[in-house]
Amino acid sequence: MTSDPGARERRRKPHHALPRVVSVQQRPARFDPPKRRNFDSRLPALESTVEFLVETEAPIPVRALAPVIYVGETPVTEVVVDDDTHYRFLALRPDDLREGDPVTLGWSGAPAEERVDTGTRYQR
Amino acid sequence: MDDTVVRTDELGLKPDRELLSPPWIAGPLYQCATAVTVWGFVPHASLEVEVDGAVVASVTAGFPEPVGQRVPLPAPLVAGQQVRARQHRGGLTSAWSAVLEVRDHTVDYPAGPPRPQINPAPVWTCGSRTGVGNLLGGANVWITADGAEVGRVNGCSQQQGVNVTPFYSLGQQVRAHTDLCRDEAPPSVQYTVAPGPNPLPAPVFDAMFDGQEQIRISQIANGARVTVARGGSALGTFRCWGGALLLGVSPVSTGESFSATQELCASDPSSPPGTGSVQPCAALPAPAVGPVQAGDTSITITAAVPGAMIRVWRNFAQVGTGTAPIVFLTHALVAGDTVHVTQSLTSCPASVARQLTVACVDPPVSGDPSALDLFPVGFTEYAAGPVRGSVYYPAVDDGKDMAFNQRLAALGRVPLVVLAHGNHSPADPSYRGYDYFQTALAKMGIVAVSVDCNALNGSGAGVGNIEARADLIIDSIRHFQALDATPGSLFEGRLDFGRVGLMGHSRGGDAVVTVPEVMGSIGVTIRSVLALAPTNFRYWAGQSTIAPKGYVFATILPAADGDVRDNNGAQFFDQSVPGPFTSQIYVHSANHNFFNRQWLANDGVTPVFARGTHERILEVYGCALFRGTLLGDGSADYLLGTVKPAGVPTPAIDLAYRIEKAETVDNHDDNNTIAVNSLGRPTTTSGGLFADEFPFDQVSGAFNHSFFGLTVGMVLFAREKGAGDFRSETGSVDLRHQEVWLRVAEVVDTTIAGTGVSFDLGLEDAAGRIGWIGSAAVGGVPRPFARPGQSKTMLSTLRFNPHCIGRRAELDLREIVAIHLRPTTGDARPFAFDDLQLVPV
Repeated sequence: MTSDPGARERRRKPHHALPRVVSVQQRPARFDPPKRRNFDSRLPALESTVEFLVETEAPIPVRALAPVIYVGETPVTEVVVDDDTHYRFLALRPDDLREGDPVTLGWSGAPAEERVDTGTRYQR
Repeated sequence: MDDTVVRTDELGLKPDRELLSPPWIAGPLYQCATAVTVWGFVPHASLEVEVDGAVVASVTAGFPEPVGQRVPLPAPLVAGQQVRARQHRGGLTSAWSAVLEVRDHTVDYPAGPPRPQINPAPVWTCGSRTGVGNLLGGANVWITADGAEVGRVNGCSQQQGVNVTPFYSLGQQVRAHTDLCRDEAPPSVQYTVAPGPNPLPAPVFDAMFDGQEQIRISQIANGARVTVARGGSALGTFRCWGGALLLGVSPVSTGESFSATQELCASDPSSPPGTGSVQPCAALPAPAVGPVQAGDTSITITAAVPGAMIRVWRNFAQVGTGTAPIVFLTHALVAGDTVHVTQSLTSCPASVARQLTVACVDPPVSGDPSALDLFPVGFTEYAAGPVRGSVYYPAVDDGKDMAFNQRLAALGRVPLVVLAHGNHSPADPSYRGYDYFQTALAKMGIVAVSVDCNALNGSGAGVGNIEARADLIIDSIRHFQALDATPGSLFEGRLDFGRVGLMGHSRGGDAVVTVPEVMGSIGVTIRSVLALAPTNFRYWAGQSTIAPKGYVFATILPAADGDVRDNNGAQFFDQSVPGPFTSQIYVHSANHNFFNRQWLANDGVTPVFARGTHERILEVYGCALFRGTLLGDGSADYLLGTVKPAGVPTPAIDLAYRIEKAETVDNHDDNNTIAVNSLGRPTTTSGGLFADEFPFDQVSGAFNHSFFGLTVGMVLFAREKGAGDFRSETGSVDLRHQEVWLRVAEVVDTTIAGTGVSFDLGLEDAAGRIGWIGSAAVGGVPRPFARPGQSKTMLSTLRFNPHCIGRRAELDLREIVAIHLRPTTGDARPFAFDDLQLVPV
C-alpha cells in the first residue's frame, strides 16, 4: 500500500473587508418606530434626528455583524439597505453626536483602527 | 486526568487471589424479556442468573466483548422481579451483582419501544448479517427485505447481530423490527440495498499479544463473510455485521501469523489478504481508563486488548478483578488515592500498569443526550405569506408529509422547539441548515420548527432588525397555534405551548433572547433558550443588554468565531438569571458557520474542527437542554458539568454554569468594594497578594483588553513569591452536603504562556483549621484559546467537593467560616474569579 503526504486544503474564507466609501450625506430625519405585528417596538420615536446616506464603492458583505457609522466613538447602528451600494444609517441617540467628529464606517463592535475613514465630519 | 504508565515490577502490587469482582447485568430489564445480557465477567467464567432468589439459568460464558453474554431465561420476566448475577472461575465465586428490578417498558416508553437502528448501516448487496441497535434487552428482533422476514433473534441483546437468509439482493428495501410483550416499535429507517465497496479493503488485524484468546479484525464491510487462517490453516468463515470482527481462538503464541480475506458477492473478487502476527508478552501495553473521581465504585476501561483480565489496585491493594468495559471495586475511591490498572492474558502477566491519582472532581464520560431515538421523523414546509419555514415531527414513518405519530399523540400534547437562523445571503435557504438538529429533536418526540427569516437577510441591521426577527419568530409560533386549533391539520391538538424552547444562531440568537421579553401573554411558556454564537445589537447600540430570565438559558460560543468575534453570548450568560440554571459552552477550534449546513464558508480564524463535529456539538448540547427542560429527564446534567457526553471533544469544551438554588458568597456585582463580599462579610488579602474588582467587559477600567463578558469580577495575582492568600468569610456554614463552585480563568495578556496556572482553594473551620485542595484535583484551570490577535479571558466553572479536603485536614465541615484562594503557579500571572457559590448536592 502506498502512502500519501497529503495536501492541506485551502479554505474558502468569507469576505469581510469593508468597501471604500464614495460619499456620505447627512440630512435631518424623523423616526417612527416600525409597527410590529406582535408587540410594540422598543425603539424610541424621534421627532428630530439625523440620517446618514452612505454610498460605497462596492456592496458591504453580508454577515452576522452589521455595518455601523461611527461619529467619533458614537455608533449609529440602525441601517437600511437601499441597494447594493447605498445605505441609510439612522441615529437613535442624536444628542450623543458631537459636531466635528470624524465619520467612519466599521463593523459592529469594531475597534477604531479597523474602521474605514469616510473623509467627512459630522455637522449638526 | 494525570495518568502515566509504570512498570509493575517496581510497584510491589499486592494481588488478592481470592478477589473476583461481580459481573453486571445490562439494564434496564423489562417484563417479557426472555434473556438477559451479562457483562464484566472474566473469560470463560460460569455465570448464574438469579430471579427472586432462585437461580434460573447457568451458562459457561465466552468473552464479554463485544456484546456481553446473552443468557436465555426459562420463562419471560415479570415486572417487579429482582434479578442479579454472579460468576465463578478458578475456584472463586464473586459477590452477586447489583439487583435490577424488572420494569414495565410502557412506563418508560408509553408510546412503544424505541425504534431499532440498523447499526452499522448501510446494507450491501450479498450482505449476510446485520447489526441492530437501540433495542430493549430480551426483546425480539427481526429483519425484513421487501417486507419478507429474512432473519430473527428472540431474546436479543441491546446490540444484536442477525444472520440473514437469503443474502441481500440489490435494490431490496431492508428494515429492522422489534417487539416486547407483543408491543411493536416503529420499524427502523429503511435502507435500499446498494453495491458494496469494490474492491473490498484488506482486513486489518489489531495488535495481538502472546496468550490472547480473542482477536479483532477491522475494516470489514457490512455483512461480509470473513475467512480467517492461522499459521496457514483455515479457521473458518465468519459472517460479520460490519466494522470489526472479534473472534475467539485458543491462546496465541509469539510469532504466530494470521491472515484474513473478506467477500460479499461470490461474483465479485474477495479482498486482498490482511495479515498480522503475534507480539511477545513484553509488548502488552497498559489499558486506558476513563475519568476517575472521588466516590467512584467502578473503573471504566476505555482501551484494552480483547479478552484481557483487568485488575485494579487502590493504594497498592487489589480492589477489582474483571473485564472491560467496567470493573466494580470493593472500596469506593477517595481523592488522592493512587490507582493502578493492569491487563493480563492467559500466560501473559502484566508488565506495565496505568497509574493515576484519583481526582476530587473529574466527571465520567457517559451517554449521548442526542441518541434518544423513539420515533420515525416526518417533515414538511409551511408557508402563509411571509410566515414560512420547515417543521420536523414524530411521525408514523419517515418522510415528507407523513401523518403525526398516533401513539404519541394519544398520550398527550408534545413540546415544540422553534429555531431561527441568522444573517446570510438571501439567496441561500438558511432555514434548512439545521435539518440534522430538527431530526434529532423529532426522533425523541419534540416538534422542531425552523423559521425562514430570509426576508430580513441582507436588508439592514440594528436593533430594529433583531426586533423584526423576533416578530417573525412569534408569527411562526402563532401559525402553529392556529394549526393546532385547526380541525384536520397535521398538528391539530398535538402541540403543548406550555413547553416551548427556542434556538437561535447568530442574529437569530439575539432574536430568541428578545422573544420572551416582547412576546406578552399569548398562551406560550418558554422553558429554555439556546443562543448559538449570538450577536448583541443592543450592546453595540449602547443600550442595556437583555438579561435572560424566567427560563433556562444556554449559549454556545465558538472560540474561533470569525464573524461574531467578541463571543457576545458571554454577555447574555453573565446577565442571565438562573431559571433554574444557566450554562455557557465555550468551544475551542469552532467557527461561526459550520453549525448551519447552508453556510459553506469557513470563517474560522484558526484551523477548526470538521463540520460534522460542529453539528455534533449543537446536537449533543442542544438535545441535552431541550430533553432536560421539555421532556423532564436528567439530561441537563450535561450542561452542569456533572457528566460529560460521549462523541464530542470535551477536552476542547469549557463549561460555565450557575444554578438558582445556590448561596452566593461573592459575585462582585454588589458595588461594595473588594473588601466586602456578597454576603456582606469581610474579605482580606495577605502575603503580598493583589486582589481587586474590575469590569469583565470591553470598557475602560477593565483589568486589560481580554475580557468580553458583562459583569464585574475579581482579578487576583501574587505581587511577590510567597504564601499569599485571599480570604472570604462565609459565616458558619455546613458543607457536608454542598459543593463549592467558582468561575475562574487564566487572565490573558498579549501572549499565552506555555504552561497553565494553578491555585488552591481552602476551607477554614470554626477552630481555625484550613484544608486545601488544588485546582488540578478538580480538572485544572482551562487554558485560554490561542486566537490570533484577540485571545480572551473566558471563565469556566470548577466544582470543589469539600469532602476531598475535609478528610485529609480533619476539618469540621459542619462549621466552615471562610473560603481561601491562593495562587500556586509560582509566578505573578493573574487569575480572574467570579461567582463563588455554595451549591447543595
